[in-house]
Formats: sequence, C-alpha cells, structure tokens
Amino acid sequence: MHKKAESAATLPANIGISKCHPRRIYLYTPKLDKGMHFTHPLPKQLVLTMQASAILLFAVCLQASAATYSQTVSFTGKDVPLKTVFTSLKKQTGYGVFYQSGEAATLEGASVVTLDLKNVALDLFLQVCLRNQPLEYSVEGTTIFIKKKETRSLTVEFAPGTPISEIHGRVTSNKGEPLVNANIIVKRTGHGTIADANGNFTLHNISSDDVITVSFIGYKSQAVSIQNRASLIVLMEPATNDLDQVVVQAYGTTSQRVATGNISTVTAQEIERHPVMNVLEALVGKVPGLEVTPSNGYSSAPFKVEIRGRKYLNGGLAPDPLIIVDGVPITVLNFQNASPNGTMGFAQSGVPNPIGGYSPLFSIDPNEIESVTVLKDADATAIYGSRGGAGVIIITTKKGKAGETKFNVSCSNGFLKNTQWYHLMNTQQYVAMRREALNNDNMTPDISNAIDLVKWDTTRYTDWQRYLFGRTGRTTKVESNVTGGNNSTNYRISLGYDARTHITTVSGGDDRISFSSNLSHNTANNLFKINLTNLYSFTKVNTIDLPSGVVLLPPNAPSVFDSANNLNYPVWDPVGYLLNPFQGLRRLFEEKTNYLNNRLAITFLPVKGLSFKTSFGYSSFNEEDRFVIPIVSQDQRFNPTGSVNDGTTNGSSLIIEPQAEYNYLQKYFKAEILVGSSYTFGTQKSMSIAGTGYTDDNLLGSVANAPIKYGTDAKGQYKYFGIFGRINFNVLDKYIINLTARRDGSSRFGPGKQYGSFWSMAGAWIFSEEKWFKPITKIISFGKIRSSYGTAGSDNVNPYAYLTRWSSDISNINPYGGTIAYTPIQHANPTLQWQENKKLEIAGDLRFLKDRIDIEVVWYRDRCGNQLLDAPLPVMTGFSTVSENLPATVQNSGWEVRYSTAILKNNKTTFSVNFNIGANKNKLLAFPNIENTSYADQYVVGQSLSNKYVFHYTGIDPKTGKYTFEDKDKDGTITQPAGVKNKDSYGIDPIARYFGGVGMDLSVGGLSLDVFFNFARLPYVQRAVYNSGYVPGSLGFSNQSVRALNRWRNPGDLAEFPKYKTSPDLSDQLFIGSDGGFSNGTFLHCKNISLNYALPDKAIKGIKCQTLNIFMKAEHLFTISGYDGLDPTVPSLGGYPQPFTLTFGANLIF
Amino acid sequence: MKPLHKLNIIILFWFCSSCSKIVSIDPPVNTIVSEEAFSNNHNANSSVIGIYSKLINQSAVVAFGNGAFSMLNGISSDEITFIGGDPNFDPFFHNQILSDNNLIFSSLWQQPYGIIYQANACLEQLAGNKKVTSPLREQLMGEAKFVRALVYFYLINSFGDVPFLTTTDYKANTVAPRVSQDTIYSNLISDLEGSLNSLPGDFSGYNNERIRATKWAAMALLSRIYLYTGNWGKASQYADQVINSGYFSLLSDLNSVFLKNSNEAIFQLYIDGTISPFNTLPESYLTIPPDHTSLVYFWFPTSFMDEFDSDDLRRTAWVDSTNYSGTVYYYPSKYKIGPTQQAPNSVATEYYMVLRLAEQYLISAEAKAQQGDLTGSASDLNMVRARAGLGPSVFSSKDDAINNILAERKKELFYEWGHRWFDLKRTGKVDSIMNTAAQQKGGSWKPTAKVFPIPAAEIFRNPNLTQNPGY
Repeated sequence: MHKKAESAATLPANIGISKCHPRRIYLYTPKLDKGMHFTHPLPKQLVLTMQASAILLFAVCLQASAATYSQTVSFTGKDVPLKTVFTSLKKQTGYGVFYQSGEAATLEGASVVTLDLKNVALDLFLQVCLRNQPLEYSVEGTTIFIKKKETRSLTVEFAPGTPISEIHGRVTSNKGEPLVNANIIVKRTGHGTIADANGNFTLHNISSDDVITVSFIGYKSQAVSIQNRASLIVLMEPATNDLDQVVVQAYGTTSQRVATGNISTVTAQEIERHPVMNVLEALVGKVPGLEVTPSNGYSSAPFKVEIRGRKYLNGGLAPDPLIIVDGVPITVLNFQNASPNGTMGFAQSGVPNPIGGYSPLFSIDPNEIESVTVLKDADATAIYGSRGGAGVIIITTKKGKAGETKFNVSCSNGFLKNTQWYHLMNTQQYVAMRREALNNDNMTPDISNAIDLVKWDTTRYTDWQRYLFGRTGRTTKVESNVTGGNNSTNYRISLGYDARTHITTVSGGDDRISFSSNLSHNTANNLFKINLTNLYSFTKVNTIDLPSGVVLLPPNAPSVFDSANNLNYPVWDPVGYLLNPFQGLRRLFEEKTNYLNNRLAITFLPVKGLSFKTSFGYSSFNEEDRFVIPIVSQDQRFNPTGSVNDGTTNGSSLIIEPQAEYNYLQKYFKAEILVGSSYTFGTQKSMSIAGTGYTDDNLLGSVANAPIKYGTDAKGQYKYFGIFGRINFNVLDKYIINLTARRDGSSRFGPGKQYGSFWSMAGAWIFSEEKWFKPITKIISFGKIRSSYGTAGSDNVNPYAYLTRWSSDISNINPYGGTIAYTPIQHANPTLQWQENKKLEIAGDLRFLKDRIDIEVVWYRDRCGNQLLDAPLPVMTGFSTVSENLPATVQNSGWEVRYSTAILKNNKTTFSVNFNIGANKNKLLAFPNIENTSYADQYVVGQSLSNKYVFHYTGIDPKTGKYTFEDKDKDGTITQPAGVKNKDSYGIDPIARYFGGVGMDLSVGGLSLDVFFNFARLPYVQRAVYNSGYVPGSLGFSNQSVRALNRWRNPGDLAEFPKYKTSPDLSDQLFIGSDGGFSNGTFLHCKNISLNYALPDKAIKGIKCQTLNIFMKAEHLFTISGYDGLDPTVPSLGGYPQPFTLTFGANLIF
Repeated sequence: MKPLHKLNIIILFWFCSSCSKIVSIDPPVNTIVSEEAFSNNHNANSSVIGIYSKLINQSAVVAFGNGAFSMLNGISSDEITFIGGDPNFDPFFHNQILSDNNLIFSSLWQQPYGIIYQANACLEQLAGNKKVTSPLREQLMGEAKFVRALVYFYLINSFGDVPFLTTTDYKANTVAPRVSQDTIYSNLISDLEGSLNSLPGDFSGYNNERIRATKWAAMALLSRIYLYTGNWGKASQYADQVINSGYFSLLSDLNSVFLKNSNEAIFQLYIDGTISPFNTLPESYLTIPPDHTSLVYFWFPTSFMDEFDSDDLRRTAWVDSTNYSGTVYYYPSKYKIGPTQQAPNSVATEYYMVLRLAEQYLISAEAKAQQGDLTGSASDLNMVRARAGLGPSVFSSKDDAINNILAERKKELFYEWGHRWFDLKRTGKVDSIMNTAAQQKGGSWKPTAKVFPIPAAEIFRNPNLTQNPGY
C-alpha cells in the first residue's frame, strides 16, 4: 500500500492519483528552478483518462493513509550525509530503507544536506531531503525505496512554448500546511490566480516554458518554471528577513514589505530579555514615538502610555491607547479619576490604593506574548475608528505549532535592589543648617519653632531612604509550556509563576500565576478553521501604605517604633503637624485579581478567495482590594479605632466581530477586500464597603464585625457598534493602495451624538521593484515610499458625563441630622461628541546590501480637533473639571527614524545594532476664543501645550541672600502667577525633544549578549528635592541635598542656595515657578543586559533534551544624566523607585 | 463574480443594523439626575440638606465650615499661637501667606465655592418647581440663600472682593470677575431679608434641632452684616429681635453653651458621632490634646491670658491647660469633647456653633454705642459680662464703649470662627495691633497682609480674576 503525505487526502483527484505514485510528485523549492530536472511528467492524455477513476482511487488512498497520519519525522543537522539522515529516519519511523542499487552505489554523488525539520510528514521530509539530489523515492508499505533518478529528456511530451490548457498545483509551507490565498502569477502574462483553502490552484492557458511566481505573506517568494509538467507542489520556506516576516495588523496580517501603514512590532525574543512583570516595561524605548512612563517602581502600578505626543489640552489626563489582547480590547470604565500618570486600571473600587492603581497588563505574563504591535498612523488605526485616536497596541499571545510534543521549562531566580539615592545632609549638617536658619530669622529655638533641636536627640542619625527602600527583593519565575500537534490540530498549554518581593522596609510582594492555552483545528477539507485562545491569570499584590516624602525627614528624627515595637507617636507629635508619618508601615494593602481573556475564531472558506470569519471574544476581570488600618497603626490618643476598606471591581466585556474577506487576483493586480462589523458590550461594577470603629484588631478580618459600616457601589455599561471595511489594491507588489472606513457608535455620548465616521487612505510605492532600479539593487536592495492620511477618533470621557448627576454616596457627602443628603457630582454636558484626530504620514524605507542595513524615516502630523476632555475649570465653578469638547486643534508632528544593521553576519558570529529615535513637536494649532476659557493664561496658539510659563532665575542676590529673578517688564516687581499674560514670565517647553533606544546584539556560537539603552533629551525636568514648600532651614520634611551647604551667609557671598530660613517667603514661591526649579534631565539609561548561552549539543547529550540555555538578565542598570534628582522620567520624590533587577536562570526544551 | 454579490448583501445587512439603540445603555444606578433630585418634597429636602453637610464637611479637617476660621484667623491675629513645622499653617502665623498656599486654595476657596454651587443648583431647580409643594419650596430656597449668604460673608471678609456667583453655568462662572464687597453685601442683605418670611420661626419643623436655618438665624446673620457695613440702626434692630424672640437665652453654665441644641444656639452644625476619625468636632480633634501632659497645636500667648480678669469664669470654663515637659500651655476648650474624650461610635453631645446669642448682645451693644445709646449699649454688654461672673461696665464715651465692647468680644468670642481677626480688620485697628503682635511672633507686619491672597491656581484658570495687592 502506498504511503502518502497527511494532507494528500484533500488534494484534487488528479493530484491524488499522482500521490499514489510518488515518483510523479513535483516539488519546488527556491533552489529548484535553476536547471533542476524532474522526471516522469505526467502525459496530459493520461491525466485526462485517469480522472474518471480518480475519485474511487482517492477514497482508497484516504482510508489507507488514515493509520499513518501521525507519522511525522524530525531532523536537525548541518552538512549531514544522507545516510545518517536515513538511519535516523529508520529509527523514528520503524520503516526500512531500501537502496535500489545498493547503499553505496545509490548514494554515490549525493550531497550532504542541512536540515531543520520538526515533525514534518514523512513524504514531505523525503521530498525535502532529496530535493537537490540525483535521487528519487517511493514508499511502499513500510519500506522506503531510494533510487537514482532516471535521466530522460524533458522535452518528450511538449516542445518548449507549447500551450498547456491547464496546470494544477498546490502551495504549502515546508511543513505541509496549505497556504490559503497564496498568489500565483504567470510571469509572462501577468495573469494569475490564488490558492484555495487547501492551497490548490489551477492555471489556464499557459505555456510549457512559463515561469510562475508564487508568493505568500511571511514566506520567501519563488519563481518556478512550469517546464512541461501538469501538476506541481510548491513548497514555501518561511522568510528569514524581517522585511517579509508576518506582522500583525488591524484585523489581519501583513508584512513590512507591503504594509502601507506604520506598524511597529516588538517580538517575543525582545520582550523575553527583560526580567519584568509588566510587558509595558519592556516596551520602553523600543518603538519610536511610543513613550511609556511608569508611575512608580511597583510592578503592578499604572503606566502612562503615549503615542506621538500629547493630544489632549488637559495635561492632567493621559488616555490610554486602545490595547487589544488576542482580539479583545481591554476596556475599563474609569469610576475613579485618572491621574496624569495613567488611569487606575482594574482598581476602580475607590479603596485607597498606595500603588496608585492596577495596570491591566500586569495580569499578562510577558513571556506569553508572541508580539506587541504598535499602530500609529491613520492607515493602521482608522479601522478602529472611535477608539484608535490615541494609537493602538495589539498584543498577540503565543500559539501552538505543529510538530512533535515539546516541553519547554524555564526557571529563574534573582534579586532586586534600589541603587539610586539622593545625597542628603547628615545630622551634623542638618542641625547646623537649622540653627543657622533660626539665627537668621532672629528666633530662639523653642518648642513652637524647633522641636527637632530642643526635643530630639541632635546626634541621632537615620538614613530614611535606606530605612524605607534598603531591603533586597527576591524574584522567582517558573514557566513551562507544552506545544504539539499536527497540521490539522495543534495546541499550546502553558503555566507560569512569577513572584517578587518588594524592596521596602516591610516586605510586600507581587505574585502571578498564569495559565494559558491555545487550540487550533482545521477540518480535513480545510474549509473550516477554529482557533480557541484562553488566557487566565491570578495575581496577588500586597504592600504597605508607603509614606511618601519621608525620605526628607530630619535625619535626627526619633525612632519610628518604641521599645515595645509600637509606633512611637508621642515623640513624633508635631512633625507633619498631625501624625507619625510612618503609620503606613502598619497599614496593609492587598489586591487580588483574576483576569480571563478568551477568544474563539471560526473561519469558513467556502470558495476560493473568500473567507468568513467570526471572532467571539470574552474578557473579564475581577479585582479585590483591601486596605486595613489596624488600631496599632493609629495614634490611639486621637483615634483608638481601626478600619477596613474592602472593595471589588468586576468587569466583563463581550465582543463579536463577524468579518468577510475576499481576495481577488487579476492581471498584475491583486485586491483584498475586508468588511466586518464589531459589537462590544461590557459592564463593570464596583463595590466598596468600609467598616470603621473597630475596637479590636482581631476583628479586622471581616467588615461584619465593624460597629459602623457603609457601602457604596458604581455600575456602568458601555456599548460600541461599528461597521468597517478595508480595500487593498496591489499592483505587481509595486503600487499599493489601501482604503479603510469605519462608522462607529459609542454609548459614552448622549442621544444624537453617538455615531461618527472615520476613514483613511494610504498608498505605497516599492520603487526598488521598478525595472530602472534593478541595476542598483545590489546596493539598495529595497526601497519604498508610503503615505497615509485619515481620521480616527476618541471617546475618552467618563461614562455618563453627558448627564447631570446627584449622589448620596457617603464618599461624596455625609448624611446630615440623620437625613440622607444629596450633592451634585459633576457639571453635565449633553453635547459631548467625538474627538477627531486627523493623521498624515509620509515614510520611506531603504535597505542596503541584501537588507543588511535598514533605514526607515517617517514624518507625521497628527491634528486633534474638537478636543474632548475633562477641561480644567476654576474650582469656584463648583468643580475643577468639566467633560467637554473644545474647538481647539492640537498638532503633533515629528520625525521617527528606525535604523538597524547587521554589522557582522556569518555562520558563527553575528553582531547587529538597532537604533530608533522619535522627535515630536507639539503645537496648539488653533483655539478660537481661548481668551474666555480657563486656558487663557496657560496656552498660546502656535506654542507647545507643554509650555510652562516661568520666571527667569538670575541667581542669589549677594546682598540679601535671596533668589532673584529677571523683571522682564521692568515694572519693578515680579507679578504672580507666571502665565501667558504675565510679562515677567516666559515659556519653556519641558517636552522630550527626542527619545528612543539603541540595542546591540552579539552572538558568538551558542553565546549571545544583548544590551539595550534608552535615552531622551529632556531639557527641563522639575528638580525633585527642591519641589516642596520646605526651604533649606525650615522644620518638617526638610532635609536637603548636600548641595544646599553652598548657601549664602554674608553679604557679598556668591552662593548656589539662598540664606537659610525657617519658612518660605515670596522669593521661594517665585523660585519654584522659575526656570531655576528645573534641571536638565537628558539621560542615557542602561535598561537591559541579557546574556544567554545555549549549551552545545555535545554537552547536553547526557540529558535527554533538545536545547538547554542558561541565562542572565539584568534590568535598570544605571542612568547617565546630569539630572538633579534620581530618575528624570519619574521626577516624584520619595515614591517607590524602580529597582535594579538581576536574575539567573535556565531554559530547557525536551 | 458571485461572491461579490453575497458580500453586497452582507454589507447591506450590517449597515441596516446601524442605529442608535444598539449603543444605548442603562442609566447610572448609583446616582440620580437633577430632575430626580427635585422630583418630590423628600428628595428636594435631601438636596438642600446636602448644603449643610457640605458646610460642616465632617470628613475633612480644617475645612471651611469646621474649623478653618477658628484656626487660621486665630493664628493670623493676636489671639493664638501655633506649633511650627507645617508649610501651610506657618505662613498664616507669620502673616506671610503666599498665593500658592494649600489651605487658602482648598479650605478658604474651593470648599466655599462648592457649597455656593450646590446652593445655586438647588435654587435653580426649586424656582418654579411644581413637584415640590409650597411652603416647603420657599423654605428650602430660603435655607439655600441663608447658607450661601453665610459663605459669602466669610469669603469677602477673607479676600475682599470676590466673584459673586449665583448660577451653575460654568461657562459664565469660569470668567467671572471680582465684584465689590458692597454689591455682594447688598445682595446678601436682600436675599436674607427676602427669606425671613419663608424660613420657619421656630425649630419644631427640624425635630427641635437647631441645625438648619430659621428666621432667627437669618436675622442674626443680618445683624452681623449690618454691623460690618455700618448700618447701626438695622444691626441693633435685628439683634434685638433675636434677643427678644424668646427662643434663646444666655446659659448661666458656661460649660453647657456649646452642647448640642443649647438654648444659646441660634444656628449650629450637626455632628455625626460615627464619622471616623472625627467622631468629634474636627476642630476639637486638633485643638484638644489627648491628655494634660501632651503637646497642643494651638495655645494662647500669655499676654492674652493676662487680659482676663482673675474672676472671669470664661478663663476657667473655656480655657484648659496642659503641662508639656514642664511648661504650661493654655488652650481653648469651649468644646470639651476631644479625640479621646468621646468613646468611639457614640452619639455626639456637641454641635458646631455658628451663631449664638452672646454675639447678638455684643452686636446690639456695639450698634447702640455707635448710635450714641451708651446706656442701652452697656446694658447689652453687661448681660454677657454678668454671665461671665463679672461686674457691670459703665461707659464714659462712645470710644470707651467701643473699646470695651471690642475687648469683651475678644474674650467672649475667642477661637470661634475667627471673630477677633475680622474685628481687628473691620474696626481699622489691625495695623496698630498686628505691628506689635507680628514682632512678638518673630516676624513683621505688612498692611497688605490683612487680606488673604486669591489662590494663584484660580487666577491662572480664570482670565478675569485679579490678585490682591501685596501678593
């Protein structure tokens, strides 16, 4: 009985016949088209005569082959003699190998082969092995016959140029998967066709000497000579150059070669180098124009993610880009107000959150991510319509791969340590400073002005920074996954555990367990495909309520705890005017999250070129948080009771996206049409219940034990409905036009304002494909110019912003006199509507020397009009903000450059450098009637939104020892406050002038070293230590940088710091609002170093595994900067810093 | 091209289903819309109740209606000393407030305007509202106007001219300029006079609690406003009406004056004993130390203690002391319940006094003296003195009377909504007295310091808002 490749059963009848006679299979691979001769072309007449009986025979073949479907073979080796390969084959399959003319004679003249095949069908395996050999094979029963090719003339059947009425073929990957919609074009005529669901195609009216070009996204294109064959299999090899790799785009895939939009991809390989718990941390500096800023060093803390500059007038709000995880958007309703550092994420219950929120992406194990795609321009984002205005980030998780079952286990261990410290005064210096200040102010130290000198020990010293952040954190990560299956069904299951402890005095920690699975199945006829992805994770974060700012406490401040280990309140009394600032050390915060993200995609391919796909996504999160104030943390003289805040936020959303795609190929012309619709329905509910008045800490476990309790809740819904379409025209892979449109409705707007339309058009010209360019393709191997223009929107407002709302919730208002009280909670604005973002982009991509050098230069211009925002108001209007549309237009324009080069590339060693940089210029383009808004003194039309108006600091007055400033309007005084209309002030722009990253990857043999830096030019960053009301010499949180020792003492002194004094005066207030309060924050940050060593095969022979890697990963190594503070990207003082992280581990695949 | 036909049909189907219903969501459940908040008597009552709740703002400390004036006006004047170390309090004590001061912004500006907003919202919704029955509707409007007037009174006495907002229209209010004090005063007077008939004449409608506005509260505020604006006749007229109303009396037991619903109270703010941590008055929480050996935050300078006659009952009943590390500090103790004196979760025994009878006697005395009625004036003053266990005063002249009354006001009304600071300002004595006082505090006095700075952040947001001189 004949053995055959597993997918043969789905071949058309005539091919099926020839499969029964293995010698008549024609296999094309890239190297075949030059001078390779295949024998036994099937005479045309024979094909015709055999068709009648084909169906019958086909059925037999199918049945017989069923038993061997799972017969797959793997082999990896370099320059291996065929004999070795066959020995291995024998071992793996149990089949015998029979050499027709004896082993030595048959294999004579056969060359060595280099193979890297995993779990391929036996048939395919043999085809690949023998593709460049003067040999052919057949399989009979469990025996493989190898024999010399018979040399026969090729021109027996047809003379060259003979017209052939039709030719049948099949396009598959080198693993045998049919490549649906692969393009087959006859070079001579330009006519062509596309492959159907099984990869099959038929060409009509071609000539026997025609050459066809076969192409498919993600695979190397090939030119194949028809010669005089009637059927053939084209085996495609995956592209190895990044130009042709598959990249994820909105509702589909494309490649950098033919993409018309701006699509940046960060791969799993890059992400895995970072020992971080949130993938956003690994994106810092990776994508030009993508600015990722953590709000603090906690792994679960929110991030500010901004693509191509600030689009909102209101700097207090940082809308997240649309983040889509496996087709399901992360949607969180902001019940809690967002801060400039980002939204509260999953933590919407209102329970006090010392971390500042919960980044949804903390729930996803970065190692589960296959790729992160960042979409920036109109072409890439317009199809997301209302939600694409702030850019789109698509996260795709790892999927199963056909092949033998493979286990992958990875373990790592490491530690975290804070390495950045402020240089602050010691006790001696501090006490001297305070004495001098009191003396300067003619004050005698007494209890009301100098408790630190008259009551506290003036010799005691505590380094409060190290007291808080001096601990060493630990990190452990274990990951395991298993993949396997065949071309019709494959799977991936993975389990990960990640834990780290905090660097704080009282240890907290982050834990995450994640489980994910992916299953995909094609029916035997390949007409249906099903893919199911599940992602589940459980996280637990616990921490203390970290006292902020206490790093500046007097260094002689008393002990935090007394001898009985209770908080030492009485001796601390007046500092902070109320409480021991360390009460938070006894206050515990705990947060637990379950996150589930599921997606089922069903694809149906009824006819050639047409596919219907429906994707059902479901995502839910449930977050529980708990903040406990035990009595032991209280100053019991004032409040001898404890309290508990328990909260939950539950959100779920359902998304249904039916789509239809049609592929069409005509002479030199391809079209891809996508239409679809998207419906999202989500609900979110949060509840919090507070129990207060506990008189026993043992009862804090349940709110039920609280004498007083009250609850509050919030519920919200959101719905989106959109219809979208995309048409892509491609002529000869040279001229490409891409059009998209979407009509979108959102529930965030009031009746009548819900729908908006968005669109884009884009074109690309791959000029290196032009004939006239061919002579220089040796130098410039690829050249493309592309451009796009279009619109996207934003509906980033709080739910129900269009309604006037009154609340009786205790978090808003207390009852009065035993009666429930109502209070209004927002200004209503029923006229809210879409913000519209018009994006224009022009880009060029040039690759040199066989793509070894790649430069892409992008210019873009985004104009955000009809600004939808929480506009700040004077608080005297009742509220500090209102959601509204303002007629302002904000422009962000700039350049982005991506450059990568493989400096050295040979068998053993590769060395490559990649670099990216983005420079954005922000400008308020238009704002009619600005003078009658609360922005009148803040923004100037034509200037950057981030402009800060400041006084010009002119040094310390040698006579008085006070800060001096330039009196720009020469009226004798410095008028307050600084602002647009204040002639004493001028504008400075603290926005990053440019930022980016540079990475170097070196690999020698099994050893690879990757180093990554990110950098930014930040001309003005608020100086951290001086940004407070505590001037050098005052009492409170007022320890100072040692630099403040250089102060003014006597008339005539030229000093950096003013005269010490006990309380700030006008000159100090002016200083904080002056350019003197800023420092240059330009930095180069060594973000990541990872070292990986793949043990040589010899070394791991003993262990039964395929590969064994040992690795070291380090994060946040050092920063080179002249910044007067710690981290210029997070200039807050005394918050949880980003620790240096170092981990070691091993990865084992078997 | 068969497939294309199919596609067309699908596209058509999708487009047809595009309607607004598909994206309409349920209304919010935890909040109600404005119309609902005034859809019946009960809801309207709760909406107006919210104004009082915002005024006392019991969850906060040093808030506009719960201690800001006692503390901040107190340390700004010569009345009380403050422990140093806080960058927001210290500038008040040293009369060197900067326009970015947080307490100025939040306690003295944001909170009062928040109360005004709610009062305006209530007035807008109640005007002509047929769902709320008369006379409740008029009463609620009167209450809203009363609280709004009270808030504006404190605003103009802190900042001078301020924006006078009477609507909720944020577009107009965003650019509202400052309005002269005189204009605001005349508006407050007409609001209060106009409400006298719609406000209840007794406390029966309020469960006999003195925690909401009555006709008498409006009159008491009117008499104060007339006193501040120099309309002596009206000041004494309204003060006398309150004094003679029969609802109020000076309590002979000084320790009972500040208890809830005390007979001396014209208007108090309700205190909820279950609101943690301030299950007491937020003001007391900061003022009364946990025990008599702890440090206090606010204490009287010795010079002030010396002003009391030795047999003045107020010195013993309303002043307490603590001995911290060998030094005795005297602190105000009109309210007795400090943080440790009240058991957790119990019912409050003290409410926060806003208007009380003794002030009406002092207003009447001063207004009469200004009108030349020295006998009437002395008789009013002596009511207050007698209650403090002191002998009667006899005035030799108008100036003598005014000086005596002012001295008495300092001792009677100390640490109570900042009377002393306002008295110094309205009588023009502030420069002379503060010149000395500021030096004793270790600083110097600038005449411009008598008006607080308008918050810088607010000037930044409102293009028409101007700053006071000297800031």
